[in-house]
Amino acid sequence: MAQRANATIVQVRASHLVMISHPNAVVGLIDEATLSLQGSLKTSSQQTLAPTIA
Amino acid sequence: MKKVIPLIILALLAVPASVAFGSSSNASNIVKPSVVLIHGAWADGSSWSRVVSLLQTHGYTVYVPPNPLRGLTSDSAYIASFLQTITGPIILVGHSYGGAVITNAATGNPNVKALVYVDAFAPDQGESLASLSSVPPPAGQSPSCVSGDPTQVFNFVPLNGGDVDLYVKPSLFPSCFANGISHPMREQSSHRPNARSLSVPYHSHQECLHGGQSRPSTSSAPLTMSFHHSHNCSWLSAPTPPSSRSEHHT
Repeated sequence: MAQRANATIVQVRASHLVMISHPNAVVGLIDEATLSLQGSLKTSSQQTLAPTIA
Repeated sequence: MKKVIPLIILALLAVPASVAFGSSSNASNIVKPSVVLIHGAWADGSSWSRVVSLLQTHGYTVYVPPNPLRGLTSDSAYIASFLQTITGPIILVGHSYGGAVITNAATGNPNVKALVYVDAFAPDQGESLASLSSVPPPAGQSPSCVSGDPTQVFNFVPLNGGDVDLYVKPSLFPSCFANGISHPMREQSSHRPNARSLSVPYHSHQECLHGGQSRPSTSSAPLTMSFHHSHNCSWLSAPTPPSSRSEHHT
């Protein structure tokens, strides 16, 4: 599914709950997505005014 | 497995080391989108707790709305409504069943700039979870542990209207769903039920598409995480040949 979507793919040796066992890997992929978007974000981004919800 | 190893190497080579290992040095001084994390079935937002802490340290605004787990259509509609409350660019992240939800919820929202799938369903237009789940698991991997006799896997809680909530039996949860994580964290793996109407596909091979929750804890088979850019999710409604796409990262 990831390949057919032409996605950037990272493979991690982990079980299903990888966000618990390898949170750095998940955050690394999100960081990579952010970096890849910088061209479009600079021209279209707005400040997020809503408070952080954790 | 021989086919997988080169992919792992390629992935690591393609991702800067600072990113691959979670450092935000390259992403710390740039415009940050909001990150919305959608949990999967038999889970809740606490499954993202470690990721939330790291993302906030990296300067992201993070949202973890509940995935209602009542059915793909209504779940997606709820998350789509939630996304409408966020101003500015969004990276939408889904785990497991949450991948199907983000795929639908992002459609038509121009603020959603990227979709991140964490061992998750990434259905194309017209595909159902049932059709994806019917794909046999990769060679050497077992069917999903929740694909067996439902009466042996789930506890049933009747709901008004005839539906039933399915809870993974406590005796199976650590080895079936929370395998591969340390014992104390298994206890932290919150467990929310799914409506049976949602869970029908899970009676098939479901998570084994990416070698997910069905694997024994000793398995070292890699699972897949991925992202792709979302331009109003145009790839969902009008898939284009890979050769014609501009955002091709592998």
